[in-house]
Amino acid sequence: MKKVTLEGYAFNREKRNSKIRKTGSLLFFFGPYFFCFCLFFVFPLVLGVVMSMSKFDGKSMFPSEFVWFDNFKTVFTNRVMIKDFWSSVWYTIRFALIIVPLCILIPLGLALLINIKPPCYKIFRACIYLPGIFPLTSTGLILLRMFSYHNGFINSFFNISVDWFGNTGTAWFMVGLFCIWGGIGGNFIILCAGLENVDKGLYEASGMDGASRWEKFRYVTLPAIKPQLIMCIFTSLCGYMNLYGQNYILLSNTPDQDAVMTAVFRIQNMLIGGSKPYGYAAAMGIILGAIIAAITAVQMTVTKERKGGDKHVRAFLDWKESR
Amino acid sequence: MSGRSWIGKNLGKIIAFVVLLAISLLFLLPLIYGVFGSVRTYNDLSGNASSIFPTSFSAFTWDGYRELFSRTKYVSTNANEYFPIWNWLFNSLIVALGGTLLYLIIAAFAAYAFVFLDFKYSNKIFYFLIGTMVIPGIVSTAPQLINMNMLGFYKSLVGLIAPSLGGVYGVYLIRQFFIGIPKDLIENASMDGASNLSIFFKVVLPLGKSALFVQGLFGFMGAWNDVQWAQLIIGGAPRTTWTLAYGLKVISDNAESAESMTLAFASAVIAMIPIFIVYLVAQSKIIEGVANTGIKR
Repeated sequence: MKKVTLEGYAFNREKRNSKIRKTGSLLFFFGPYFFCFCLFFVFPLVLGVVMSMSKFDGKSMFPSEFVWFDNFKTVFTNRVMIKDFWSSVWYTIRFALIIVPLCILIPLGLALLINIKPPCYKIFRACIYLPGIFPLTSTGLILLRMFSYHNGFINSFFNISVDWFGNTGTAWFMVGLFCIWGGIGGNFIILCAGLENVDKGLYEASGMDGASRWEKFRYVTLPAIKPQLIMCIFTSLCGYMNLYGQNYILLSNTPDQDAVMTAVFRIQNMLIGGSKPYGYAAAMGIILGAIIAAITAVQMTVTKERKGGDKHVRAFLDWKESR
Repeated sequence: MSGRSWIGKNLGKIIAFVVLLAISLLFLLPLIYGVFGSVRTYNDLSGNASSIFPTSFSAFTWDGYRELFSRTKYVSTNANEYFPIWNWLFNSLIVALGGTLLYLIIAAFAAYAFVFLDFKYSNKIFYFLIGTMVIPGIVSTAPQLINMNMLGFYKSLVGLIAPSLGGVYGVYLIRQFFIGIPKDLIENASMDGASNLSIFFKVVLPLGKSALFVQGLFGFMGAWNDVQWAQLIIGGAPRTTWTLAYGLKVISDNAESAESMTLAFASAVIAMIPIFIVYLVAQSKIIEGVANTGIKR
């Protein structure tokens, strides 16, 4: 029999106890989140893949048959699908291509004005950020009344009679207006903070070297706030590829519904509709997710940071050399 | 330079001031219109439509609010205009406040585990979590709905809270903050025989309060404002389980008649009040929080 000393016994026991205690506290602290993460995040992703390859009988919420890639094939080849889903994907991309630049340039302009620091600039900053914090349904309801065809404020004030939400073109314009009014706040604040952190010494140095206003902006400001700009473009692009709420709230009375539906709107409609085509909805979700990932990947490669440290300092030196 | 007049020196500031004033007013205009619309008679609203404000003293009315709070009983002849607003307010509060607090607790615990309980693969697991943030949410929308149905959370408020508990972003934010806490403090406390739980509550939590607060603010606002997920989960449920933000959409859709116009404005204002209070109290924290998302990359 192996001899066990008292010290050895105590040591081993202590080691085992501390291990139990460590595992216990890990379970206590990390367990709840890990459980939720698996159940509410990982599991739906896996389930989504299974669902996208399953057939639903249209009555229950459980898949009835496993059909491999048939759902995907239908989404890509079926005439109705091409007309409905792919046209709305195209509308979404087209709208995003217009609205994303606006959602960068307008906040950038406003942030530059704030950065001059006129009196009360903090109040202005708070006012411009304000509309975006409220529920879309609240702000949307107000816009609906304000631009209402009959006795709306805008139509009466300018003495015009435009059916803002009735025509496809003006309806999309209204969605854009809603996106700018209630959506630029975040980008605006981020860009304000970025501008605030630009090294003031560079402005002074470039000023002494006789840089014009435009040159200062081009060679000092822009390179310095590039990280913020990239982040804003990324989040706006992701956000507007998932556009839903604005269209849902403003345009439910627009006659030509097909022309104002975004891709997410289609999927959402399938999920609340009576026929319960969950298999197609899951497949479309995966396809749309892949499209969004591809678009943002392209954007990240185009706007990628070049390697190396102080880019803005280098850009400034480049500019000096080029003179 | 010294010869230039005061105006010449401050021309940039003056122009910026004027432009920003105009734009701020433009941004506030619809909100002002909405708030005054909620205390304005329908006749004034449609008769003097070109004015933002009530045009006379007699055009002021509280009827919108009175009407709104009188539609809380179900009447089968007017089922479309049955608005149990007390339930909606209560439900919104439960989802926004309860869900946020619950998430803060489990997220802060997880962040504590990541930073101070160095367990096997902790870094790998963390980077995996970060990696999942690039997956667009629409991928899991449909399966999440089925998942909620399987768990029995479909058409209930739990179904609104549960998905947010698996969120990654809060854990990430809180972890980044906890990392800044000196490890010595925790080691000292641990030497003195303090348990992890008491270290968490006595040392880490007081130091990390502000990170939790900021995350809580955004969680609250997001949950209060949510319409998209609410439409899927509770859209088919009886009206008493709706949230305010979702109920507003139905009010808005039914607000064509004369008496329901003011009511609609009133409901929009009521849904904005809690968010506005949060904004007034924590404006600087909110703006700082948004700004930090751009700086700390």
